[in-house]
Amino acid sequence: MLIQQPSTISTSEVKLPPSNLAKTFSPSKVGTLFLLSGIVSLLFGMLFGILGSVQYLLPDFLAEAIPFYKTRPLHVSLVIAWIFQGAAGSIYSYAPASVNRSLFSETVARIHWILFVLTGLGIIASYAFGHFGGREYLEYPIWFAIPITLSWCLIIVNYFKTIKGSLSKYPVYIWMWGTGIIAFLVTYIESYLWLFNSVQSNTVRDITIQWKANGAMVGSWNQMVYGTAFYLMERISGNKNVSRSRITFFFYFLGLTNLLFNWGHHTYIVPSAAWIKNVAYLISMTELLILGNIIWNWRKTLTDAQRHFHVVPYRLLLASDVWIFLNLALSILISIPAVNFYTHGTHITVAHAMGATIGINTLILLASAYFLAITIYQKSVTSKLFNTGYWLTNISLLVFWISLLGAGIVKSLQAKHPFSIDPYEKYLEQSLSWFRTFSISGFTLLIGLSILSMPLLRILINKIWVRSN
Amino acid sequence: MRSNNKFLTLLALLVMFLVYTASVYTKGTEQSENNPMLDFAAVQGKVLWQKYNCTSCHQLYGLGGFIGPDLTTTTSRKGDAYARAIILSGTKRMPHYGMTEQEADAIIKFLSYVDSTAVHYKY
Repeated sequence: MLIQQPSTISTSEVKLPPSNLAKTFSPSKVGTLFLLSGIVSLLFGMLFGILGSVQYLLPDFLAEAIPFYKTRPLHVSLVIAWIFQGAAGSIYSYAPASVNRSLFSETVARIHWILFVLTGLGIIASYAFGHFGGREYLEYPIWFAIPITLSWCLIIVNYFKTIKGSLSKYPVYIWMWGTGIIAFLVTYIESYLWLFNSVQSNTVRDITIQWKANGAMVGSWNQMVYGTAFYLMERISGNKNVSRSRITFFFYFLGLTNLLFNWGHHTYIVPSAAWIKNVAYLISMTELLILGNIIWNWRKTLTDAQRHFHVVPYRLLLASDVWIFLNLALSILISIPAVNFYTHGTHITVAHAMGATIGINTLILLASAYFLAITIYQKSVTSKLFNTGYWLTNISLLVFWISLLGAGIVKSLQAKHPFSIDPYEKYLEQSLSWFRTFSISGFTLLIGLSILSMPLLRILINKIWVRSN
Repeated sequence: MRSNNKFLTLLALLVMFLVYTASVYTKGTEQSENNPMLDFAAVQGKVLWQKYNCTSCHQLYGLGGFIGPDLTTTTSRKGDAYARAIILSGTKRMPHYGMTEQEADAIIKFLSYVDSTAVHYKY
C-alpha cells in the first residue's frame, strides 16, 4: 500500500536525539507514573486475554480458580485501563510544555493517579471474587463508578486550568485532549442512565443508550490517543503546521462528528427507529482515512536525520498507520448494514476491536512512552531488543487478527442467521483451528509487547525512583 | 481555520448532538407493540443477568461475549424448560452457579421479554 518499509536500526543502541528539547522540558512525574502503571496494566491484561483464549480450547482450564466469566472482564478492563492511563500519562507529560506552563497542580494529579490505581485494584479484586453488577466493559459493582468519576473530574480541572487562555490559537492536540477528557466524562455518566426506571424498563432504549455511550467512549479515548499522535508528529518533525493546518482541524471536527454520531452500527439489529441506523451509516468511519492520510503526509516531510534521531517512536507510529488502513477497510465493510447483519456478533467484531486497541492505540501510546524515555529522559534502548519486540508484536498481531476474522467468517457462514446457530458447540468445534491460532499468536503477541515494554519499565521506574530520592 | 469558525463549528456540532440525543432518548426508542414495558419479574432477571455477568459469555442482540450462544431468541427456539435446566445445572462450558429456582425463573422472564422484542431475528 502507501507504506514504505520502515528503516531498520543498525547500531546496537538507538542514537539519542539532540537534547535541546530535553533541556527545556520537565515532564510531570505523574505522567511518568501513569505511563508506568498503564504498561503494567497492559501486560496483565494481555495475560488474562491469553488465559481466556486457552479456555476456548480447554473449557476445564482453570475453570474453578478463574473461569472465563472472570478472565474476560479482567482482560478487557485492564487493557482499557492501559489506554486511559497511557493517554492520561501522555497528557500530563506533554500538555503543560505545549502551552509553556507548568501543570496547574501536581498534587491534584497525584490524587488522580492514586484514586485511579486504588479503584483499579478494587475492581480487579471484585472480579477475582466474582462480584459483578454492571454492564459489558463496565462489569464491576456500580459504586466503583463514583471514584472513577471523581478521579476523572480531577484531570479535567487540572487540564483546563493548565491550558487556560486563547484556546483558538492552540494546536489541534490541545483541542483533542480537552475534547477526549470531557467526552469520556459525559459518555461514562450516560452509560449509567440504566439506573433510571424509564431506561431500565425499556430494553430497546436501554441497549441503544448503552451502545451510544460505549461507542462514544471509544471515540473519547481515540481523541486523546490521536491527539498524542499529533503531538509526537509535531515534535519529531519540528513542523508546527502538522498540528495547525486546515486539514488537521478538518480531521478534528470530522473525528468529533464520528464521536458524537457514529455508534449506531453497534445496534443495527436492535429494534430502535430506522433513522438512528441511517445516521450511523451516513456518518461512517472516515476519520481513520483522514488520519492515515495525515500521518502519510507527515512521514514525507521528515528528513532522514529526523527519522534516525526519533527512529523508535517513528517506527511505532508508522506501524500504527498500517493498522489504521487495515482497520479502515474492515470498518467500512462491517458498517454496511447487509454485511453487518452477518458479521455482527462474530469474531470479526473482535478483530476490529483488537486491531484498533492494539494496532492503533497501543502502538501510538508506546511511541509516546518511548518518546518520553528516549527524547526527554535521554535514555537509550538496545536496538536489537526493540527490533525483535517490534516485529514479533506486529507479525503476531497480524496472525491474531486474521485468525479472529477466520473464526468470524466460520460463524457468519453457519446459518441463515449467525445469532441462531444450533448447536453452538458445533460452531466452536468447526472454529477450533482458528481458536488455536489466535491462542498461540496471542501468546507470541504478549511476548512481543513484553519485549517492547521491558526497556520502558526499566527507564520509567528508574526515573521515578531517582527523582524520588 | 479561523478562530471564529472553529468555535462556530464546535457549537453547531454540540447543538446537533443535543437534539439527536434527545431524539434517541425519546422517539427513537419509545414503547410500542414490539417494545413493551419490562415488568417487575423481568427487571429482577435483568439484575441477575448483570450480577452473574452472563454477558461475558452470551450475547443479546449480538452484543456480549462469544464463548456461549446468543440468547436473544432462546426461549422461543428452545423453550423455558430447556433454559431452566441449563441455568440450574450448567454445562461443560457453563459454570454451575448454584442459582435458586426463583433466580432461574426471573432470568427466564427477562429472556422471554427480550425474545418478544427481537423482531429483526424472526423473518
